[in-house]
Amino acid sequence: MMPDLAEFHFFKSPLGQHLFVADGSRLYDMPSDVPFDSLAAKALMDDISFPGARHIDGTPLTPPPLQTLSLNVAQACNMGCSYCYAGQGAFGGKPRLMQFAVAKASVDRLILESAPGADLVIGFMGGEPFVNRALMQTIMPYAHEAAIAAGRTMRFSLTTNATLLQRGDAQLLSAYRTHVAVSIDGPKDINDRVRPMNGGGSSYDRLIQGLEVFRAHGRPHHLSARITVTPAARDLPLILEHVLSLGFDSAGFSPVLVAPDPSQAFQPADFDWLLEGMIGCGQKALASILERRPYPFSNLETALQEIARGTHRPYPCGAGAAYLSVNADGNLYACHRLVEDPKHQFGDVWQGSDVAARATHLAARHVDRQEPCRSCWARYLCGGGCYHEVDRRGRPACDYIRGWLEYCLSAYMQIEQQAPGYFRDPVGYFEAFRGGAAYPTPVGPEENHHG
Amino acid sequence: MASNMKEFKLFPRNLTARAETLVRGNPVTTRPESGVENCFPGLEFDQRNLDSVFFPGLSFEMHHASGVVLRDFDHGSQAATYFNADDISQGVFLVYLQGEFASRMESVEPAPRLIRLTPPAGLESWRFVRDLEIGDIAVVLCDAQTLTRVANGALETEVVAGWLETRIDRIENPGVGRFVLLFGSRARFLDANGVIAEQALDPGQLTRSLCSPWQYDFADCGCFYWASNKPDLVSSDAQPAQVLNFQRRNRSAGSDQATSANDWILKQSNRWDGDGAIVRHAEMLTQWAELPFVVRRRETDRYIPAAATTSKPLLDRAGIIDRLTRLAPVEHALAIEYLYAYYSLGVAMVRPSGLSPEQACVYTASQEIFQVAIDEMRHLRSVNEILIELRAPWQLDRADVIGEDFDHDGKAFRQPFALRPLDAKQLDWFIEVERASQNQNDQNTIDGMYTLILLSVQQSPEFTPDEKSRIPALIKVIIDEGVDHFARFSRAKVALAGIDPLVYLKIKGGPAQVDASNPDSLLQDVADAAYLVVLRSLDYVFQVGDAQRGAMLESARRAMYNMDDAARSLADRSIGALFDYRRFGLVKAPVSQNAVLAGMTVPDEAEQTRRRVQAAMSLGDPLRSVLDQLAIPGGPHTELANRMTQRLGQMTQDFVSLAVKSS
Repeated sequence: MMPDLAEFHFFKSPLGQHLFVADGSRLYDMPSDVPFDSLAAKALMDDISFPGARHIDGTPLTPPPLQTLSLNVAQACNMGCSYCYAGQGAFGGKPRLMQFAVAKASVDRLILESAPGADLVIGFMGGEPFVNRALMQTIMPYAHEAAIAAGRTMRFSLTTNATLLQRGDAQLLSAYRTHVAVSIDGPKDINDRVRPMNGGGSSYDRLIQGLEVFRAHGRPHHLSARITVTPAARDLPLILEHVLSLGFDSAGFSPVLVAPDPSQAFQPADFDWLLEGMIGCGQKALASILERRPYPFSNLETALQEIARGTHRPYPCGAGAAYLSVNADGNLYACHRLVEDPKHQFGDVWQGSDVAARATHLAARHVDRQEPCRSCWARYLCGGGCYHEVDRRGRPACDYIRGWLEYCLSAYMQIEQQAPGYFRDPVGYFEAFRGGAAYPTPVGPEENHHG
Repeated sequence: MASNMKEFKLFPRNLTARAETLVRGNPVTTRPESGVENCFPGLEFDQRNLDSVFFPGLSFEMHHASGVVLRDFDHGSQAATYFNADDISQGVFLVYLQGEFASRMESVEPAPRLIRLTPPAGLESWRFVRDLEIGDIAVVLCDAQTLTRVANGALETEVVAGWLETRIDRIENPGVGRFVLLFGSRARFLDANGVIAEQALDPGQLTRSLCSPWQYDFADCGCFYWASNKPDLVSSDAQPAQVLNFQRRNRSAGSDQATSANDWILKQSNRWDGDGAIVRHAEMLTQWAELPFVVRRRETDRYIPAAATTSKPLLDRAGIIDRLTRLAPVEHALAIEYLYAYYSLGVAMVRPSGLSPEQACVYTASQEIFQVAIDEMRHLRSVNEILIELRAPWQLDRADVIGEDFDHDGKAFRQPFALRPLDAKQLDWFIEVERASQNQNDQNTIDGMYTLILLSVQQSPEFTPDEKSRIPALIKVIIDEGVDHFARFSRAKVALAGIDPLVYLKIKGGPAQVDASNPDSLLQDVADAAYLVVLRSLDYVFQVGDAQRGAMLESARRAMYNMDDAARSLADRSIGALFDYRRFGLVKAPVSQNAVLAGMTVPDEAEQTRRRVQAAMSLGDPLRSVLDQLAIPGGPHTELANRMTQRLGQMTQDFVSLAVKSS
């Protein structure tokens, strides 16, 4: 008796046999002597199926209030990376900078269309945001204060190549508790091959100087590395090891599926070595986690935390839902990659977001309403793939995604068994074993003691 | 569905899967036996009472430092063959415990262990009992003398492990003493419904130590916990520089008391505050009248009525503000003199092990000095908070002279501010300046000055009821702590008596600027800049604090840690910090103008927030620039520079986020 393979997925880990249930992303241990196509397995699966009360079904999401807006503050860049989806930041148009009036209208728009009391996020994208330094310095304080005046809180994130960083930038980002993602593709030779400076010189050296500025003048709240993988970069464990050695709080890979130069994008055969490399990195991280040594490989850690919570969502990301992106002129798009794409323009910051267009987008993109997604067990973990990539390349990476998720499920099982504390408190879990600091952490006057 | 299929089970492994599972009853964490270390008076449950019957047929008590005592046994049980009522009254103790113990580390499985419960202790031994898993266990019991011999190493644990391989109740007598070996299963306290089984404990057994104020609260509470309830460490008229346990049994001075600081310092205090030496539990009821009154932490049997109200004219509101404005710089100056003296000793922050008796005395003295310095820094804050309360400007300057002659009688200290290492002369000055005045008319001591201010506030019609309730509370703390400071410096003097300053001083003279060509001169710069940032931070907090002042001051401690870190690094090199903050700029925290923002129309409140944020970001500027120089990779102080940079960054971040919150 074959189970419904779109709803149930059996997998093995070093601990035995397990069952993943798509509805609610639930995980169970299976008795090891029960074959997955047996009557006994069917009986067990019937016990945990609730056809009339599913956790998730094909109902599309109604556009929620806005929570995150990314500002393409500079549609221009000081670098010339060959794989850049934004074509050196200009998205195929004329390089230009966002004006303060547009940025201010964007902040006001985000606040206006958000829920009362919401915890809002503004992301700075480009291009390279610090090409437009003056705007960064004015809009962050403005956004901070405007949010407070409206009873919201505002957090910030920034994606940067870190080659233009100055002391004042570091102080600004540190003061406003910003999550900063730095683009770096590996050791100097690998990085500089695909990430050239427009004016010549090593972008790697410039980036290291940028990190030094952070170190000396204020570290952002969180500093992550985003490693773009092109078909030329093969040894992922080596690349990850190097990047983490630079002191990032986390680092993760992102393969190129869409690039102006097609030779920079992954071909179907490339996904085999990509999976192998990702699992290689995963094994290192897994061993470290079990020994309570941090090894912040973000692809794995994000997946582990989502699996632990049983995250199940019918979309790959929040684009067009609670997240929109503003271009330099103030037009709203589904996300920062779809900037300047007329099919994904959802209004502008002056007139407001086009709720009807967002609703249509969400209805069409629900993972249960598309093939081959609706018959895939991993659909609520994957969400159907990046809109930008699917529209331009289709879905060449499904086997890779399933392979990676299967590895993450197995890794989860091992950690959950041997080190459940990692999921209860992913930060404290590592700190407990780092030993005490010489100085006590200041505590509030409310701190109390027992008896 | 075939019935045999129901034999298979699925085990949920993540949150959503677990949330599907419905379980009858309350969650396991609500059960009494799930409590962790709930054994202190005043809490909802004394876990020790539940675990007292962990071995079937025996009832133990784990409330005494003398060990785990056998209080009773089931007269129908095997234990009755080995014990009678006489044995119990003479004392039978649990000396070994075998079973499977839960691990304190979640990744480690429970494991079988044999545990020797020596040195004898109640609470510590109970923790092992608490961790005992359900299953086979063994206990080994002996009398008090035998327990002492085992504690002194008279019996190898391997020998006991060998006995326990044969699970038969019996007596072993290896020459050390008589040991009773009993085997059984760890008692279950819960019945089938998950509640404490009625037959497990007798009525009253579970609740007997809960909130019986004159027994358990009084006897068991840790130092300073129920601060208003009882004194714990006191001094006496007979031994003014001595720390005494208020509950000590032998109250005659000198008999078998600790008589010198050395007695305490060398960790022999068990003789004077161990279980046998102090009044506990039931004796609290019978011997309460022997406990003396304690006034200002000193035992006394005399009542001294307060002196008549001062004959000096009280101060008016303006006069009080004037005095406080001049006292704040004195608190500042004293704090720095004490700090310099403390750093001159060059001791580690944490007491190192293996100190010689002399080193131990120096360490003890250092802690007394450091504690007073910390108090003085708090006084600086308190005086300024009073000024703010009175809507007067706060005052962060440092006095050049300590002891102004306020009443012009020519008797004031008039001591120029001077940084000196902790030699006998400096310690005598510290004792002198903290000595309480003998009468309230004496304005020549600092304590007398505060007393006059206190009386003036209490009696003046110029203060609102709200001010009259809040300001005296702050002043009283300053006065009381002054008394304590006198005692602390006196103790430091006793501890240092007879030790040559040339031996114990790491910094032997006053502050001297290191030649600029020496890399350590940069370290002196960093220490001074860090000192300035402490003051700037305080100034900033007083400017913008209001509702967030408490939280901001907490965060400002990081500035203090930075100054401390730099001063310690200097002391390690036998160099004194200069404590000259004026070299690096103004104390006033700037409210900066951001040119970029000029011309932007923002609401007033937002503008204020922005200014607060900008000011917070620039607080650390004087330190940042010197730290940049200190942080040269591979330099001698790179690590220090990194630590300080990180603390400074964290403080800035906290200030920014608090500045935003407070708007």
